[in-house]
Amino acid sequence: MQFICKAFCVFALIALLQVIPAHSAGKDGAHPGRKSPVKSEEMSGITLKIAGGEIQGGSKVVRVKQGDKVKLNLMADKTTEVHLHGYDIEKTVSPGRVAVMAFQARVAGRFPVTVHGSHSHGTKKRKGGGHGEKVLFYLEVHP
Amino acid sequence: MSFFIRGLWLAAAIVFLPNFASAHGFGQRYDLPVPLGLFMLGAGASVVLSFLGMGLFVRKKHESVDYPSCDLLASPLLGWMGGAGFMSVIRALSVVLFCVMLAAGFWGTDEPAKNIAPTLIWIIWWVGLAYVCALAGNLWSLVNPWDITFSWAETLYRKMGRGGSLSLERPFPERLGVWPALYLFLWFAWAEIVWPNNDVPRNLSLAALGYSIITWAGMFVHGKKVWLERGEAFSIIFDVMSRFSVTEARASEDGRREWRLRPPAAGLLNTDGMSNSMMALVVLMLATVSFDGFTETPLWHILRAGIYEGVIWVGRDALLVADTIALIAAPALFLGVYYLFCILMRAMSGSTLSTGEFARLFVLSLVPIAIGYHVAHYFSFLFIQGQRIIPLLSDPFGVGWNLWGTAAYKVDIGIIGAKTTWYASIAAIVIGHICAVYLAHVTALRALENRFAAVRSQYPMLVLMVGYTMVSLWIIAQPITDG
Repeated sequence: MQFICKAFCVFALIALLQVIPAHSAGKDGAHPGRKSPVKSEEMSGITLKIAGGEIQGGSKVVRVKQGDKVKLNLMADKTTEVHLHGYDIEKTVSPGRVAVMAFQARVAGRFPVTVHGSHSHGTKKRKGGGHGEKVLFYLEVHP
Repeated sequence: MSFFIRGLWLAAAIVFLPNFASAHGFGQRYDLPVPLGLFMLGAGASVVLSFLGMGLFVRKKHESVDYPSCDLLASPLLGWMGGAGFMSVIRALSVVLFCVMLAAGFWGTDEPAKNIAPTLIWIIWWVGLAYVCALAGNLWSLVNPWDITFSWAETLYRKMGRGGSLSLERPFPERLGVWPALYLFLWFAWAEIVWPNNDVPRNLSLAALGYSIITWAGMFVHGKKVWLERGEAFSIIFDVMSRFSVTEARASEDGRREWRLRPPAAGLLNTDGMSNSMMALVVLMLATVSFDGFTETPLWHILRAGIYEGVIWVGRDALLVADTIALIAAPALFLGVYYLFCILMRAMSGSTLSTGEFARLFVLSLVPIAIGYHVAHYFSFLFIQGQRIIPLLSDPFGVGWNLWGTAAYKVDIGIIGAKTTWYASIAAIVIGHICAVYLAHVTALRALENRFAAVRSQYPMLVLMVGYTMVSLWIIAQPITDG
């Protein structure tokens, strides 16, 4: 009985501890990255460098406003096929070249950007495609 | 110190977990977490409305579970649709779809997104049918392919002139309650939330076939009706959900079939014949519904890393073991918390009823919160990812067919806006919460000795319900992570 009470208190405390930081961080991106997420005013182009199959440095979330014209300049250290889910845009990024993903963010949501054919991440199939895809970053389009 | 431990766990999560995909359900979600303002609004509304409800609901005592209702089959159109001819077409279509799903899993493409099996099972059937059952009525009891195929076999058996019935009609031990269904549902929950390859069409068809064999065997040994009530997990689960809906099927006094319109959630007031096993099954359902959402939150990734650390000695399958432990722990925690509150309710009310009786009486009043959460959590998922079924129906095997001319259909991600999703989600959760508070009050007034005891019993229940609703709101306000 006492144990159940204690366990309940511990659970409640953990939940509370989680809620507060998650929400206080809510304003500048759900993933507290080192770099603050890109603001919509800077839409002249967001440059993202892919190295070793991962995004270099910055945060894992790119935030834009619904209706913005988004321009993603993608660079990579080796030929990489990049897929923006939802909007369903695919680009092949070759080393030494900038691949541009330009589109209007007409639909709000949180869309993963993945590397196609990256089977490096375990043998498990991932949900929603079964490609063993790895998420490079998320594009959050806010209303 | 606690900050240090949190940091350590976070580090562990970052180091170990990106290597594993989370494996619940199937299909991607493009939801934005509910913003803080709406989260607070929903939370505030549920607390305020709870107290308002306290004042409004406790006035009169409902002696019976009677409620107004009218027969929908009395109208010409619905009467024709409910007739034998139309129903047998629907039932035949359901069996055809079931067979197509099985065949697609075995002989279709192994790419989950291009094969009908994963989308049909996880999105249309499990999420979509739960919506229909919880809001409109128990569709599953009409289209259950195991029920239909066994009925066909029975008819065939009779037509062949054999005497007696096809099933052995062995008596089902009373003490087993619905434990067989609970056991099978636990396996299903494991497949949904833990099983890493649950989007592989072949695996799904194998699992469905295995479950079919168990179901047919159960029907053969104990009789169809008995197995549907005791062992067929989905018949019981969808029945519990449909008690929230606005319709119910029943036989009239002269034996006619009726489909009655009734006030929402009224079916949950009937707690007759609620056994311990049934109570456990309902708690398991509530827990797995919430746990499925919880596995998409950052907190889960931290906890998961902790459990994973503890079982790392298992080796290659340590993560599978960690997830399985959590899947078992979640319902155990739910049950423990619920039982604790039942003890409090009993103590507060000074009732002569046992704690077990409290637990059986009030468990159904929690169902609307789970339904509200389920509707909120899957709202955009169902309407956006559910569209995949349109092209898949034209090409169920993923081999380039175009049976109905819809194979080229592209999913429209703009069909529902983010704001609509947010408002609908908050509304669903708050409405579910109000229904739950109302049901618990009516149940308390009916079951307890006097009004004073009933009101006193509801203070702990209110705390439990507000807590449960907050967990639901918290989950939909979390950024969805992918592992």
